[in-house]
Amino acid sequence: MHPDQRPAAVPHARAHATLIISGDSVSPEFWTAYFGMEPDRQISKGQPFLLPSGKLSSRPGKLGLWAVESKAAVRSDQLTPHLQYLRRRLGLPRGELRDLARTQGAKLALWCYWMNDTGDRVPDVPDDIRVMVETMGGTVEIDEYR
Amino acid sequence: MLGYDNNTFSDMLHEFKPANGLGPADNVIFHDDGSVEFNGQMLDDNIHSYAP
Repeated sequence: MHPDQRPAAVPHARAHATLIISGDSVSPEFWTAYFGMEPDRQISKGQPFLLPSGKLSSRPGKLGLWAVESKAAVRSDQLTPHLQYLRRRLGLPRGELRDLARTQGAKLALWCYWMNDTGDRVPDVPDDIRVMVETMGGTVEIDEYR
Repeated sequence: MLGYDNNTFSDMLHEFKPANGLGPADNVIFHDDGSVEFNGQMLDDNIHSYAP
């Protein structure tokens, strides 16, 4: 391939979002069936799980975890497009989700990766999405890095 | 941190925390061998495992 034809390196994402359902009794298979999609990450308690490297963990999962990410599908340094993508992809809100999660003792959280490398970036979480998540019994978590 | 650039390390930590039942605001201490301490206790996990 000619050097000029190489795809430009994709810059590191400064924002993305992940819906994570986790807990001791969380069964990834249940949530895969419920949402009708394979997650981007999953852990079954007591079982080895896939690490970012693609290798299996040497330690068993400490909890159950089911996660769908926006990272691969959305390129934006702002959170809003990532959150809107997850809402569409997951068909949120879902009225029964709160009770389903509660029954399993599952925690539902919208993890927002936020790179504040300039020190003055303020994470944008639209009010309607925050209310939607809270109505489903979940939380919006800002995971900020500098 | 631990030989990783900031972007790589933040990605690693972003996956490490929920896999260990931690929240974003939970402060952890990293040791040179990759072991991780939280609330005075060593977690049964290693941050190096989350390298890409």
